[in-house]
Amino acid sequence: MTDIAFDVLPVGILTGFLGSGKTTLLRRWLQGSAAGDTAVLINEFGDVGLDHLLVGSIDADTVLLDNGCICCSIRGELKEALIRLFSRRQRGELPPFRRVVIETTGLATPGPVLATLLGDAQLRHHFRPAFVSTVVDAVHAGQQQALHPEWTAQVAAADTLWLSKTDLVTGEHATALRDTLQALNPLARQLEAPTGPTPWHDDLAHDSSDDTARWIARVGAGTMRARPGEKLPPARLGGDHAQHLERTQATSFCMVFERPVEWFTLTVWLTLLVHRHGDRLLRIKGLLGIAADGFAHGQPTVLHGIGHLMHPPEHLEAWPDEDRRSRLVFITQGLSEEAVTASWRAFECFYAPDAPPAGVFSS
Amino acid sequence: MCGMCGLMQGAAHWSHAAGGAVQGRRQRLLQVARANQLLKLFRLELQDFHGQSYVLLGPTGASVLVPDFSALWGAAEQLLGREIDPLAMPWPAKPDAP
Repeated sequence: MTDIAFDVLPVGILTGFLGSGKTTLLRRWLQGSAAGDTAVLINEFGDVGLDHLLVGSIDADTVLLDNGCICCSIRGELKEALIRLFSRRQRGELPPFRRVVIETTGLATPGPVLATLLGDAQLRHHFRPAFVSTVVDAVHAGQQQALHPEWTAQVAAADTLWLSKTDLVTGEHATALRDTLQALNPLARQLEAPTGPTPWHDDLAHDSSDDTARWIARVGAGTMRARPGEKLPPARLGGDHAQHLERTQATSFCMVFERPVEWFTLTVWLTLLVHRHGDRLLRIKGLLGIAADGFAHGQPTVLHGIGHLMHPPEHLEAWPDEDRRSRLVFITQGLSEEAVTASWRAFECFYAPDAPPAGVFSS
Repeated sequence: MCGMCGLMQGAAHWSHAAGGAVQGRRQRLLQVARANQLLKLFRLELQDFHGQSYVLLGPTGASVLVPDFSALWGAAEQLLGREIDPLAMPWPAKPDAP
């Protein structure tokens, strides 16, 4: 009982624009046999069409599937739904599920959900955000990108991008879309949405150290992308949307530091940057060697932020590979690489005018 | 939580690096000192408040209680009546700039 009581459960977020195939992906996952131990929070049961999998209703909002999965509809506040779910797990009214997946509506950005998970005094002791999966509709991606800012926010926030409906577009179109997504969010893995019942993705069996190792490989790829002289591919949509895209074009870049970063300088700079320009910072993710009082010099630390939100930093025992340079990846919208790096350089200079600059920037 | 006033905030902000209670308090003061170097440009001053929150003092003596570093900048802008933009800071002129 005690280990149930003090569990901190990983929460995954499944998002994607209206009609992109979130529910289909969820249904395929739920049909896979390894989906037990999972509680799913969805907006409407009816859409998922789980009737043939149902074992029984626990109450009007909650059903149990034959593979041990729990499905809950979110009625009202997400916070209340999560707290209710957790307390019923404690009381033994629900099986002791080990993870939670939240399906957001198509027009939502993952930010507020993450804010609820990280910021709420009650929730943050019971749940932790584990991953964001975004489903991208290959047929309508271009149009959605041009017309709906939510689409870009959803893509930028993703740890995994699931491409759906790729069988309905040409090979070149799909490749172009993959390049666009890669430019928007070099941190995310791109996968084809499955077309049949599929086991839970390994994202869902979240393991923190695995996860860190995985995305560091991706951050590495991001660093490669931002080599001097290499520019991001231009917007692929011309015509009426060109001007709109000009303003809303998201871009990603990576800052590289040769020496450990002074933590207190970094927090002053980054809290101010996030406060003033958070709505233009779609994503920040970094692996930093930090220099701070009370730390082993250059202790590796993972930093992660979406919009105005920063996750608590994760301190690693050791570097995952030989590359000891600190790297900080930004995905921004309407905020240039030059402006951000110049700002950091100015702060660094202000606090340590005599020290040689630690940041070596690719530009 | 602060026993005197029931303040229950700020403790879990991301900008707190890590460490135990003693180490945490020490880091907190270092962080305040670092912020004050910058806030001095705006004639503002930050003080630690019971290791739980901060008090931001304005140039005219006005003071605001702020829970963490994210809220700090909003409070600073409110006291100043203008925005603080990290991309356009009023850096002091350097006497011997290269």
